[in-house]
Amino acid sequence: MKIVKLSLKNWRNFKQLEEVPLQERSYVIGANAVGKSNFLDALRFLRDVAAPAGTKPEAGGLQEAIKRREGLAKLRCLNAQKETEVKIEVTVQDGGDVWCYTLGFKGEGKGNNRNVITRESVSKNGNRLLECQRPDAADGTDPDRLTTTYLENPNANKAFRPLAHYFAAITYLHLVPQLLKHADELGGNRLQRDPFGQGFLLRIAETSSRTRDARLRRIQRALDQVVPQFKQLSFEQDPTNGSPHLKANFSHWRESGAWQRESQFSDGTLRLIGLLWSLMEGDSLLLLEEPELSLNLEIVRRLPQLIHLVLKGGKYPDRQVILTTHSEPLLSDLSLGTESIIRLVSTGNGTVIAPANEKEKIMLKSGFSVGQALLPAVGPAGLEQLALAGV
Amino acid sequence: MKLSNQVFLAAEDRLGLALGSRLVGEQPALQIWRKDDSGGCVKLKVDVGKYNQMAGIGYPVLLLTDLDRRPCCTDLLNSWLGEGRKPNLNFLLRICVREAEAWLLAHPAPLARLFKLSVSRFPTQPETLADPKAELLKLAAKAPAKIRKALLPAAGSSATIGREYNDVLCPLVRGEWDIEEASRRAPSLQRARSRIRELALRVS
Repeated sequence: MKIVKLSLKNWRNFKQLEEVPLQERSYVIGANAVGKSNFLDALRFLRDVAAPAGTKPEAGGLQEAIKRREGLAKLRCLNAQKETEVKIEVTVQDGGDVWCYTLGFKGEGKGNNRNVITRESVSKNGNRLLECQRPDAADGTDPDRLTTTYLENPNANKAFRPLAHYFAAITYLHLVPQLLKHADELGGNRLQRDPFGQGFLLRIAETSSRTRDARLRRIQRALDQVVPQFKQLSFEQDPTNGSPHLKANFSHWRESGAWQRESQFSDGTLRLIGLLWSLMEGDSLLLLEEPELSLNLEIVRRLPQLIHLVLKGGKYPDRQVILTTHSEPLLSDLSLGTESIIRLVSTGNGTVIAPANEKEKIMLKSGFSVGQALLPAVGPAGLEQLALAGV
Repeated sequence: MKLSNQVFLAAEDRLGLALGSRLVGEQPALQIWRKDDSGGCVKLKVDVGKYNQMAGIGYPVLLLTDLDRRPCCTDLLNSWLGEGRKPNLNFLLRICVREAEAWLLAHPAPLARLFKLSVSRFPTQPETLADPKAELLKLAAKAPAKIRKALLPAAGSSATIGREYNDVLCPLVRGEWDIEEASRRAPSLQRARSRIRELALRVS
């Protein structure tokens, strides 16, 4: 399955985005604070709604997903004035089938101003699923029903269960190496679905040993190319307290090299291991936040190819990956076309998509990469004034 | 094929972009749609064929680079484009002899005011200098402390310029620096102006 179109209304920075096409690999670019992460967050939101109900912090559902984003007021676009509904609509390709899921919600406007559904609908191949067109007759007689979606309710989502499972499996990764390195000192408070990779080692530990070893071997092979002194990446459990660890041998002048644990790995190595592992883990949509961080320029330049090769060599070569980036080298790969770039630009009326203009297309035709053609246009204007103002 | 009036400006650094903007700004028929600071000449050289192709499609490019220590402009063009090859008519590959700083020094009055030095201390033929940037920094070394610290690299540093070099000089280029005055003492600047004037005529 893959998401092929996304429309947003009043979602954070976006007052209105109509049917943004998404590819198997899409790269979201734009200046700081333009809404790149918020774009990904719309998809994370669907995941949070669809996630199975359970105990915190993993509990799913519409109310929990809104609460986790500090309420509807923080979520709704600041440019939304009269129109208060927040709406997310996605089109999902599932082999030969095309699903379309729409979810709209707003404050009830009375009492405790509960978050209520304004619409929820599902269609398959252009045909509306009649059992999921909301508000329906039952909602009319019992308004409390509008506080939950059919998506989150296994009793109501039978007709589109594959879609619900697909949303629930969406993975987001923004691995912060320090959280992993200093896990003991920082304590065990972890966010839902572990976006920053604190529980990365646990995820490795929970994987069956056969799969785990196979993945680590593949990661080792990829790392051979970029960190040649890094050998024998493996998993171990601390013999005294059972805590999970990665270890690797750093070759140096001693014949046996030196064994190191993840707390001694470089930030870049850890981020790369996290990235490679996530790519091999499942076939759901993978959202990556600035994967270029901490990596040297040559690796960044080869990231699109690395992602492609790792997926191609695994079980799910067509897995969809959407990532945000600021990096021109990452977008210097000439196999990337403008269709894979989602460029966000801030306007007085919310953030919009800015496709390549005529002159930028001429640049591409002349041999410039999408990074060269499309990125500088998003740079901050007037940095010089900072120096002059004596900041 | 219609020739666009939208110019792509590329230079080695921000000072080059400021000078290029003044050059194009003289011609109301032309507009800059994009400024690229390549951070040195290496990237410019790598992309020179692409710029040439863009110009061939009808989108003019003004590229400013420094001659530095090369013997002559032909030598640089041969090395960048290939022996004996000429750039497209609308790809203006203009070379500052020997560096962009020579063009700046060619109208010394604004620099003299900034440095609080007499104009007579400035070179009269800046394009004959082997290293105009060194000359500019030598003069800056006599300027008041605030300007000196902004323009000169820290003592013992291998850097060639100070942290605020471009921040101080670019506004000068955009403001008081007189392009007419400067081109009297900088023949390579005069030639660049002529080529840009010709481009403006072709566009209109």
